[in-house]
Amino acid sequence: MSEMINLQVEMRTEKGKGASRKLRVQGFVPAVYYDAKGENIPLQVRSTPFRKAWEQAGSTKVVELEIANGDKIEKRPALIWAVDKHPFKSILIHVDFYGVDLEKEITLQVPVEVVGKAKGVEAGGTLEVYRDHLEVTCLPTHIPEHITIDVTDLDINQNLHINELALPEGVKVLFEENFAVVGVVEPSGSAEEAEEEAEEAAE
Amino acid sequence: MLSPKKVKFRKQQKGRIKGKATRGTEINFGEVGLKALESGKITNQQIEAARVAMMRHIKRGGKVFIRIFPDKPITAKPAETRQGKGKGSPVGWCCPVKPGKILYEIKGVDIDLAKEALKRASYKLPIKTAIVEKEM
Repeated sequence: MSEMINLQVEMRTEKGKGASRKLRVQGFVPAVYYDAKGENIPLQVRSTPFRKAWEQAGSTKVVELEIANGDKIEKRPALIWAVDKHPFKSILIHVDFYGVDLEKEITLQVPVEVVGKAKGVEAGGTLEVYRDHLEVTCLPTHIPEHITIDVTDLDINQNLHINELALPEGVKVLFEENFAVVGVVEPSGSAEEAEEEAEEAAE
Repeated sequence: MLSPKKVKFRKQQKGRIKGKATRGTEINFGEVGLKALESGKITNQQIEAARVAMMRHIKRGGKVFIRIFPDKPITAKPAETRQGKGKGSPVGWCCPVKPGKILYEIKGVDIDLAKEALKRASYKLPIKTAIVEKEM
């Protein structure tokens, strides 16, 4: 396991719309920490250090929150669970931290990354990614950044199903139905073009 | 061109566009998209012109998603008509857009090609826009 990213946060005493707006003007982002036990702690975090931590950790790496409460500093491992952004400005509105137990498995969505050029794409087909996120269960320290899928051997009209994926150690994928994750489909209109060509040839 | 199949009332009041978009602000279908940075009314002709500009640049492959639909009628009075005598007749359709709304998305093509296509599309629109990429 790589080292955890540390992030300094502070307890937030004032709540509500007006107080949050004042915080944003001062360069803070209002945040909240919650966990499965039902604990809720309102927090505030400096925007720039948070952005750096978010860039490194994404939503899949555990961040160690150093919660400053007066003189005391409490450390809690957490995932960056949700980030609310302004619809068109580069401002962060609010952040949710989800507290995790490092010994207990967690279920979350992990993005899919497709690598390689499929055989079918070289033959003129189109690669379709049906699922861009997969639900996985693993320990918080084993959460993969993304699930890598190699599509090099995929031909036209072939799909890669969920049970055929090579997953990192300690990671399980939850599914009831064996659905397709990626596939290569025929180029649209290829059948019509072939028919037209055949008709022209007949004439 | 895009237009509703059937409407309950042929004419609508003009209205005002206030506030920011709260829905349709994230890229959901493609890899890169065009986001509105200001409010305005985009007509179905402008939507189509932007789509054609994109498709001509992409040439083949890929998929373009139009995330807005013109469902608001525009009316106009004939030329050289005195004021009064009722509201003008419907002449087209538009879509009121608030800042933050994703207008178009592209997937399945090279990212630089998609960005250039969106840039060309933005020249056909009456509002300021920005090209945004999908965040994981």
